[in-house]
Amino acid sequence: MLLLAALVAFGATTVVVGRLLGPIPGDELDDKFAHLEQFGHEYNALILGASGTFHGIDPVVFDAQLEAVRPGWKSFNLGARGMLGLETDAVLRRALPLMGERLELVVLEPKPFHPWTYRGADEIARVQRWHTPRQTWRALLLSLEHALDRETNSLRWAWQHVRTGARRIGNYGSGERLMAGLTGANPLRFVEPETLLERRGYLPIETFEPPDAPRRRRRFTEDLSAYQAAVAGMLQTPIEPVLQETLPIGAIAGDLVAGQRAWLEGLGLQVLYLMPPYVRRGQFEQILDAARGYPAVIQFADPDRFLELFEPAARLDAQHLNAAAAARLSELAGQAVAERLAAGPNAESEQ
Amino acid sequence: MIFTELRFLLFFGLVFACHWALRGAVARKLLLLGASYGFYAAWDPRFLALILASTVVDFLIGLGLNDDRPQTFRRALLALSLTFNLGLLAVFKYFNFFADALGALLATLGLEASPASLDLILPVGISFYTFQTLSYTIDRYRGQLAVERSPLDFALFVGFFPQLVAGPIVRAAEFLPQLKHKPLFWSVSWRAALVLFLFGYAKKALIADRVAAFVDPAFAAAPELGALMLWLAAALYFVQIYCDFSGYSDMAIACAALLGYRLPLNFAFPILARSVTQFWRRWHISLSSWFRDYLYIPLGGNRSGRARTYVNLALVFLLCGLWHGAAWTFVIWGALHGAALVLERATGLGPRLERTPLGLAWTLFLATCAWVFFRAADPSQALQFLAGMFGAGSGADVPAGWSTAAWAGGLFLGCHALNARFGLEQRLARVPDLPFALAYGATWALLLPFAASGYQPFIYFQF
Repeated sequence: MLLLAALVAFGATTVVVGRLLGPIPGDELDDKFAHLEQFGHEYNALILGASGTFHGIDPVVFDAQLEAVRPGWKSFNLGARGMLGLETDAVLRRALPLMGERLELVVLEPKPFHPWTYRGADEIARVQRWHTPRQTWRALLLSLEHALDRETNSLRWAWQHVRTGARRIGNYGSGERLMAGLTGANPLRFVEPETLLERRGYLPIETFEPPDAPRRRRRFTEDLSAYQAAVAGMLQTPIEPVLQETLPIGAIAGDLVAGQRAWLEGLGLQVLYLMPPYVRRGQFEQILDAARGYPAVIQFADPDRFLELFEPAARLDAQHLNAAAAARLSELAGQAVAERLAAGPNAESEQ
Repeated sequence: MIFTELRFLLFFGLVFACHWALRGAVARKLLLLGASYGFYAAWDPRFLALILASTVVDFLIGLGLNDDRPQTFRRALLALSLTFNLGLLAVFKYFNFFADALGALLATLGLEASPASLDLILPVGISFYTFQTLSYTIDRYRGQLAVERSPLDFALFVGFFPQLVAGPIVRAAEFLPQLKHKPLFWSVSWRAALVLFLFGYAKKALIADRVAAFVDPAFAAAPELGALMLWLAAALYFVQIYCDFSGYSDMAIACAALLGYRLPLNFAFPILARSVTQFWRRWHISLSSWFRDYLYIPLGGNRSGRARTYVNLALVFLLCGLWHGAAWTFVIWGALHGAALVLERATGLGPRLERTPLGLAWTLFLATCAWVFFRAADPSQALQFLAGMFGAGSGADVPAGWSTAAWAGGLFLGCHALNARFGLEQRLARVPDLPFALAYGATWALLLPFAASGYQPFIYFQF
């Protein structure tokens, strides 16, 4: 009885505290959500993905390509650094209620619904935020599924997700946000509201300097031959056979992909998948392979067709385009999406 | 597995539930012993063998230390116990330190030597459990303790998980008798234990870990900092280490209490001590009383004249410093405290200081300066840090996070003084059941947001 009373008091207080939390300081997603709360009803499309999408698709350029088929079309780039499938799903579920009736299309970067998270990620407020009970459960199941099919750190992952989910429930470590919420203090912003309004969620990568950016850039320029070899490998290995290789279903969680798509289509939205021009190296191997499990992928990770996006001059580092090349990608992506929209929602084929 | 981790809370919840669900006393002890070994194995299973060896050796020696045995035999057994336990410490903790010291000494004498070094990891908690088992064999030798014939009870005394890795150092005479009676669920002071756990958690996760975010970089970048920031860093390190260690002790005592066992008090508001002598009656009480009973008094204590008393004090505190770690910084830290104690005793300053607020200032000053050696990587860094504190540095940087750390430290000191003055812990433990349960749940929900993100290991685990 007393234990129950303590648990009820704990639960009720955490709910109240959770409601009082201010935005995460310096977080692009919280800034974007603040924008969508005000302007969400103006947008026709949401574009979600990791850094390749966040810094690769400029909605202003993208929308200009759709003007002919959808006059007045407005897209919003809701991408964020390192956003994988589980987070994308959580972000979508939070964003959709903020959107209005104009929303017609969701463009998703095909990323694995993978239980992997960055080392120490449970300490990052943003990762805690997407560990809703639903997403924590999914991540836990995915981790355990990996335990069955291959040698991974899946038990460690499973524990990390449980811990992060628990931290979210307890609002662990969110004191700064609580104080900001209580005092109405203006926390450190990642991007100013005017910029968001003007750029529609996109930020050129040059305006954003994550702590490891100089190191990554230096490694790219110093080891250009490794980058070129990776691109040459992609040229020598046509993209189709690579994508047809069999992968354990756990790596992409096809049922979650299908479930997410069915959910979005059930809401009357069209879903398109757009792969930025990543290079097959490191973890991006898996990301590119994951695309195989997705339907209707507009594939830009293909130097055979988009060699200009793979020129070293187009890159800020091995995986990211510079602003000029991002504008070109946005143009190409806009054209591809325009074709899809013109063809209707049932036209699905690999570009 | 750290007490502030969710993993530990789940582990403890499971042990707690099974412990009280089991009816048999032996079954409960077996459960606690298994849990204790599991807890230790979570740190490093390789060193479980050391605890087992220490348990077996001292249990057998204890059996042999009967009063009816010849004194020479008993003395030999005690020597064996001392050799074994101190030998473990010597090999795993001090070998490289003494080898390096010997090498340096030979080098100053103009002799070339390259002493061997061992590439060994320091087993967690070795300094604590070796002192515990030593207390048993020494007390047995002195005829002050009855023989323990139950291997299970003895193993649990050595390995009881709440105090296994960082104390309090439990004497056999305090703990073994408790194992002879089955703990009764209704005899546990639940509210006092729960309040103590909450206070311990808050000290560690809200204060120590938050303050560490400023203190660690400040010590790393000491030459760039101005005197004010260096003083702040040194003072906050005092707060950090107190909250870290006493927080751990509080949680350890609370966990044991929730299982029906009593562990000794380890801290009694040492930050508010008004002399260094008083400080050592309040700081790490289980260690200081161990040194008093097993080293200071056998050396003659204060019974052999003033000069001998001072020598004894100095020696005890040098060894106390060395107990903390195999480094000159710890030796100097111990020496500073020893010197302060000798000074207070020789001048009669201690009792006089204790009657005035000046005593508080003196104790804080001495302890804060001494902590610089404790925290520094080596004596030269400590001297550089101290020189900067007294205005000899040229830095003027203000590290990020200083204000948050200062707030956390200041808030803690305020609450600490209030707790000492009004006995908040005791008052909270007297709140009626239902309001207590509601307030307890709500307080946790209000505390967790302010926990520093990321678990920091307890400082005393390294000793």
